[in-house]
Amino acid sequence: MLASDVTALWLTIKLAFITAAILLIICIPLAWQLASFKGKLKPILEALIAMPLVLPPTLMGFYLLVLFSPTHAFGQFWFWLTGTQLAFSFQGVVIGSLFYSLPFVMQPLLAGFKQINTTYNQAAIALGISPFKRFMYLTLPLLKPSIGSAFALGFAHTLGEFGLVLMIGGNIQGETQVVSIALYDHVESLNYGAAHQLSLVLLAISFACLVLLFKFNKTVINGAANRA
Amino acid sequence: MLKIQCHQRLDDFELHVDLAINQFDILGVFGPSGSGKSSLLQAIAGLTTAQNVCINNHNITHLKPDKRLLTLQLQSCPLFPHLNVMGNLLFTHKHCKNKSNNLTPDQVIDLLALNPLLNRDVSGLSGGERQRVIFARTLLSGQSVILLDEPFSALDWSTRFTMLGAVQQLNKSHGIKFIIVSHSLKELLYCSDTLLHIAKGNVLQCGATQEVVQSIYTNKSQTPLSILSYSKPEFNEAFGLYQLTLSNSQQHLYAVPSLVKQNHKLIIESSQITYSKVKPINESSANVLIGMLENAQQLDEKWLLTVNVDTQLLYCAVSKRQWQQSAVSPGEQIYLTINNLETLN
Repeated sequence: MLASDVTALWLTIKLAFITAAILLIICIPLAWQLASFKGKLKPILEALIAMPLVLPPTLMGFYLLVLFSPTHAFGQFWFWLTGTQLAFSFQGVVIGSLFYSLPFVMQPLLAGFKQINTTYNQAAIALGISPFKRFMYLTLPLLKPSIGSAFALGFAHTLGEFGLVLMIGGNIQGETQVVSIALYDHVESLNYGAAHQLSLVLLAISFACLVLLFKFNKTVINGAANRA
Repeated sequence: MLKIQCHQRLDDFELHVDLAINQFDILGVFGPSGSGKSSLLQAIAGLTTAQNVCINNHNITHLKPDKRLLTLQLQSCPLFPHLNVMGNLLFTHKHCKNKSNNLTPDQVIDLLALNPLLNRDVSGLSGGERQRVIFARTLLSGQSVILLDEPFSALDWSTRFTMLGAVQQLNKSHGIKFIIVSHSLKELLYCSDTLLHIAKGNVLQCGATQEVVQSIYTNKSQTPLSILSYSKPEFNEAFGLYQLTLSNSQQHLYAVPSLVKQNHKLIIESSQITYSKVKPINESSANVLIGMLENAQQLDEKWLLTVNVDTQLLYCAVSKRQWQQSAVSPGEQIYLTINNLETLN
């Protein structure tokens, strides 16, 4: 494998790991609130969260690029805060990936919270357990399989990111060139041998992620069947 | 003391309860399915809103469920699947605050015979074992007012009577007050001292269990059940049966060991009782009691006889033909044969 490909591979794994970890931190409290929220705005909030599922990644990338631009208030604010630009940087790609993979982390957590709320949490409320103890000793331990699924889905989905990274980050080796872009580069330069090698590695990693995901899902399904 | 005002719209009707009960140890809430029993318990526990809830002169209307100093065991209450049986028991013992009964896990485990189950995974428990563990977990919340919604419906009658006996024992030994919802009058007749009868969200009657039950029978809504108290259960090794001497009486019955419970009560269905004006001869059953016919009342196609056996009332349902041919009048002495006590059906 080419040294540049190893760099791209490492950058992709780093990006996927950071994105999935940050999304878990954001989504756990968000899903907790949303699962028990019964307001009229609920469908709108759920639709907003699910939007990246249907939007073309290039569309999201385009608007994020506009947002990150030094002429935009947000881009200026970021430059004032950190002294760096978000466009064409790894941080910018991370922020883009957060939007891109949000629904993939959110959905398993929402489903997990809904199941826990309707059965176990109701029973614990009736038994007189305080909200904090319910969350710490009941909800979080029961949510473990959903957290595993959410992380694996977020990680796997970010691995295959292409259009959005290309729009926001371009193709800068060691900074924004992820595996999918390096592969595109190889194909464009007709270096099919390197493309095959990189594809194989990406296939193996994606497959491993999905095996883990189904393992977690199986735990959830078996658990539910046993409890029924 | 329980005082509750609750007016809330349910799916098919309005729950309309305005009630004050001065004294109870075990309050039964009886009514057909969908009559608002569970909603009433949830209102008392604070899971739904009620206009006014007062327990033991303490107004808890505006308190959150975990501050009400009571516990509700929901119908179809689940065990927590990430914990084993012991973990489930310790969950409420550790995490429920403001305990007002001093029950320890060891006491509850002994009382409900849970020792063999403690290290088991909850997913492998049978329906009956699950309900025993759920009940034990509820007890260990440490509250002195416990609300139970159909708590033993998955148990066979023998185990159910054992659990109801445990409820009575906990009431006597630890002063825990129970409010038990059930659609089985047999269950409530066995253990409750006060009975609330509701239907379609309205309170029909509330009072001493025996009186309310008798009134329900005369309104034809249930098959009559009798309850017989006894003392001195003595095991007869030759027969393999217990000899039960009736309370305040010299008369006795024989019963299989599984019918003999700690609270010394037998529930007898009207279909188990036959009667005759003369003493049955060549009768293979030894379970014949002498009583005085107090009352005979026609209910549709049958007659309901109320018989006084040394101050205890037994209800016997007979056909119109049987009643007319027997030519018995109130005030006369009759013989009652109690079936199915020496063998289990």
